[in-house]
Amino acid sequence: MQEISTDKFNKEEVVLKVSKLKTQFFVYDGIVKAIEDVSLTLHRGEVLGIVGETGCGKSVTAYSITKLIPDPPGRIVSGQIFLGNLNILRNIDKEAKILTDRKRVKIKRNTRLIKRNELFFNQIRGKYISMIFQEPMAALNPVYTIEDQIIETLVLHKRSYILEVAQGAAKSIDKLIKFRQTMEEDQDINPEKVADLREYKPDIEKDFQGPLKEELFKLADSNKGTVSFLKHLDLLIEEGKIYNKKPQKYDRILNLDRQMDNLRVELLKETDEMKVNSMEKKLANYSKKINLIKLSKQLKRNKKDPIILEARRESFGLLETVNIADAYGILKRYPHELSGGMLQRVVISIALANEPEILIADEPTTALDVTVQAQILEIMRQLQKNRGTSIILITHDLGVIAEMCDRVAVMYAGNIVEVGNVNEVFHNPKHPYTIGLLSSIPRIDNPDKKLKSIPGTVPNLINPPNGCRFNPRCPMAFEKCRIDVPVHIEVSPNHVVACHLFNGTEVSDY
Amino acid sequence: MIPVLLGVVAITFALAHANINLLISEYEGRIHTPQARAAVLATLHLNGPFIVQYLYYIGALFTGQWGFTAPLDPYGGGRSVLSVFEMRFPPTAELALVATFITIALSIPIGVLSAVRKDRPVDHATRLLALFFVSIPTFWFAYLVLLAVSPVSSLVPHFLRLNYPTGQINYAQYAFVGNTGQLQPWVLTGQYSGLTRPTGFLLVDTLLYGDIPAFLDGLKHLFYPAVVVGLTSFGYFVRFMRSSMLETLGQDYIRTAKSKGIPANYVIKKHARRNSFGPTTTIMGLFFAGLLGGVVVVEVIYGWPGMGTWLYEAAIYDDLTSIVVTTFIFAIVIVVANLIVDVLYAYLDPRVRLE
Amino acid sequence: MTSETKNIKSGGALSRSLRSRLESFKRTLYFLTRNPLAVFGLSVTIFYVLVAIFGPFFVPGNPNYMVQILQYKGKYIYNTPLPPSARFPFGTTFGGYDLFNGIVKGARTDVFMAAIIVFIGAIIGIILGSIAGYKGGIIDDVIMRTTDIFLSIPFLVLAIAMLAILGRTLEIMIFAFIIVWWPTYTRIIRGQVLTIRELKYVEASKAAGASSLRIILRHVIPNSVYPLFVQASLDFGNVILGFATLNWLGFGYSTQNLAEWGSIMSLATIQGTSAVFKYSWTLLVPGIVILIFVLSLNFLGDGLRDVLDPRLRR
Repeated sequence: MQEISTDKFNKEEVVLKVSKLKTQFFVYDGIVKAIEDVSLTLHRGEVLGIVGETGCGKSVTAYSITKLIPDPPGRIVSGQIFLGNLNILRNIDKEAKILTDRKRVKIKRNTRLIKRNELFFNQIRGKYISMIFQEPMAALNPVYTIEDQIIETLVLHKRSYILEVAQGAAKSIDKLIKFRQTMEEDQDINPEKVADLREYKPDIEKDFQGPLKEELFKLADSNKGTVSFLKHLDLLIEEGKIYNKKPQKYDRILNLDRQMDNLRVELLKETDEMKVNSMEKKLANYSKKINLIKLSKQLKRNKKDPIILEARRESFGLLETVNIADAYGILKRYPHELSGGMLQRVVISIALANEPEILIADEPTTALDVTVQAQILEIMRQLQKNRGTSIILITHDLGVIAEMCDRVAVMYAGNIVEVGNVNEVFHNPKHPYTIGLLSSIPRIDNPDKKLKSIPGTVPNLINPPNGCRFNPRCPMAFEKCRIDVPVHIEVSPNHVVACHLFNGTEVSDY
Repeated sequence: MIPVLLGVVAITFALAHANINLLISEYEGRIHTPQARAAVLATLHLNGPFIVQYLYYIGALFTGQWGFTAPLDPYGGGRSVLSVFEMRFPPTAELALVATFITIALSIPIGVLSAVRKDRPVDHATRLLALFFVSIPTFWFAYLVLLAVSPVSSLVPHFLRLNYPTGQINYAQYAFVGNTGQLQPWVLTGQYSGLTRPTGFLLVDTLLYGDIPAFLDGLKHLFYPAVVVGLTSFGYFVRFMRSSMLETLGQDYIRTAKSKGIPANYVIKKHARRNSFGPTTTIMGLFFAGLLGGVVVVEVIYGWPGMGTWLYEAAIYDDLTSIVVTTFIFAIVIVVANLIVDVLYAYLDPRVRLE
Repeated sequence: MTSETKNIKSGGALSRSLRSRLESFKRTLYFLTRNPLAVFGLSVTIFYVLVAIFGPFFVPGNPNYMVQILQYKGKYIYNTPLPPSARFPFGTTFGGYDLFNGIVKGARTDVFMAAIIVFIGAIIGIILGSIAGYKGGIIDDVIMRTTDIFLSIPFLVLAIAMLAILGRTLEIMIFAFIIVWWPTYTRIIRGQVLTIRELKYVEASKAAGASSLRIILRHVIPNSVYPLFVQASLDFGNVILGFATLNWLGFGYSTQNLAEWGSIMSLATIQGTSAVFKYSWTLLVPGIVILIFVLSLNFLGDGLRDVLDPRLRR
């Protein structure tokens, strides 16, 4: 998991590979086979859409990737998820034993292993894989301020960076103050320089180094106006001053944080049980020290602490990147005071706060007005281009897919039935379900009087149909469809279908 | 709040004036003629239209002119009701507060645990236990605890006969003070270890004077009654806490918090708990009313010299003024508690603060 | 319930709505039987109710008062209770009363009292709650404030006060109970009504010209009674507990030989701890009887609540 540079990235690189994922829900009426043998590949910087009807398993897939399936009643039964080279679903089959005797299903859980895997996954969630959800109005905790909730994720995953910036500010505090003065003076004396903040970059290069320099570069590049830049500088100066009051204390915390970071990176690669154990213990011990609750209280009391100040500055910056006007004022507000579009922007900024490699968006615009929807999608696209984040976009809206996605996967009843480039799949759909789906959209250029629909309803996933799950509704179904489960076949470059109508070699990379 | 207050006062007013004979019973001996009776009625403003009476009533109530106890009062008729109140209120307050504390201290962690581990053994055990405490008759439970404890130790005062009018110990005037094991009169405890009972709360006073043995002794006596009341209320409260927590855990923002990579115990501590308190505070008022009812029963059984036993005795001796005053005080306490709880709710949930 | 929208005027509506109600009733029962505690609760409750109705016919003596036995096998048992035996399945208690006799009769007393109280309280609650919820405005405010007022006084305190001042009769007791209990039902119904009146089919009825009364009777009330059932079954137990407590305290309408569970227990506790310790069954047996009954009622109520929870309905 290397750090990616913000400009160029290798489009061929595989960021996420899901392999034969199987998730089931154990309810009173039986076992719901929600997703069966789902495989996906996600490349760097790519937007992969997952589309399908309600109940086809798109959300379940997303939740399975981040292991957010509620444990009773659900379980990821088997499969592999490769983040880079690492299978993050390690030990998944050892987590629980599923015993079926007659009609009752009993699940025996290995709680210790589950807890350990949870600890492991907590390092991944929010840092390497982030998620955003459908209802922005309900996505944030109503009793905490926006600031609190953004800072929460920054402190969790980015603490050492924050401290390094603060340390840099402390060490170069005089230069910072002078820089600020210069900028203020420039407002009257040298307005062209101020008009395009990137003019300051050589000055920054001269005076500052390290993470502080990077941050200042970022500010200059984002070009959000002098007022904002000055505000950032004020915050930096303030944290520098407070850092300098107790430099040893913060230096010590910084060193600890750096060690913890290294530990975390190693943990993600380590396979030896004993070492993993001890590393996790150390990490758990340390996370007790960053008391998230104490943090909220400190925020409320407006306690002056360089970590908090820098985190606040970062959140201010984050809100600016999602085009929120009056970002600094919004920080102190509560979620119920903001509109849906703004909240969704805040949610996106939280998700991207730690620059994850992958963003999973589960119907992010379904609950929003069409105009707001366009804005949100635009923001997502920009962020994706600038940072090279890969996005998995889940929706039932084919228009959104066409607009945003590079590749698309069509799901039906827990299976992926067709995968490929968006243009290819939309213009040459192969699977009968995809064809049905695409022909059910009303089109301006071909005004049929009657809307076509796919007859029948989504099958019961406790007792899905034998063979291909689509066969009861498929107009082209024949004998084989009712017996054998179709395998995934590549029908044209980068276009994979799971249907008995086609012949070819089975592929597992799609 | 004001209309509720007035309404409560109205109810006590109705109670007080429902039985005029009882009301003027303290003048019993001196009324021999219709004129005398009329004169008494006039002094007490009982002959005007209801509104006038009501206003006089409110006036008297809120200025502490509460009259005097009935002649049959075993501790001496004609005592100022206000003074009796001063004596009786602190013990009940102590008992109620400690019991509430026990209830909350037990309900919150157990309720949270029960919700987080839904349908696991802990959950089932909690639900059964809660149902058990809700179904048990409070007085029976209290008595059984008493039986279990009293022959064995001196933890509980030994005067446990119900106060039937056949001449029992006047325990209202006494209390165990210190570790002498002897009864000492409440009011006269000034002689013992220098206590002059400034606040009337035994626990607080003993602490104020640094009399630790007396403090511990008071605690011992307080323990069983408070536990009984606390456990019965726990039965109600923990179920509510659990369902409130379950509802919170199903909310979207919990999912968001988890997807940020926050460890599970922090999600519960920071995000879930605080949000589940809100709805709980709304039933606190009702719950407190139930708790006070339990306090009355437990006081009578354990001989706790508080408002509960006062009410009980007053009811036996037909002491109307005391009855009315006690009812009024209980109601006021609940109204105030509701107010506090509303403020608490606003503090916890910013969405409510606009009001 | 979609069949309702089409059947405002026609008479076939009644049979159709009855049928759908039967369906949901059957479904409720089915789900209820899945819950072992609820099944236990239901069966024990039915048992007690049967005993309450029919028991006193099979037991000697006046159905409202206990049978007093002064001599047994040559001994005066007035002050020495006899332990449970073949002759006296629950033993006797102080005063020479046959406990089994008393408890069976007491079942009728308590159950009937609770039934009356809960029933009347529920009726008042339905009426006032529907009016408050449906009409809204000032009427709603007034009714709600009144419920607030009555909920601010602890039940026991108010009951004791009323009984002491107004007289210790059965009527006053029932009155005291109802005064304290009607607010709860009113609030529940009002809450339900508020939700239901926003539903589309109520709007449709209004648009079709149905009068408010008709809407309330036909649509609102039948759909808001479910939480009321839950609350009523839970309250049944609470009423019995309260009733027993009042009688035990001595404020009820009870005489020494009244067949009522709380009153029976007071016969024991009056004697003091040492006596009770020695003759423990005099206190334990009636207490366990109450405990089991109220526990079963609560199991039943809890089970009903789980079943009728709208979120669990498919």
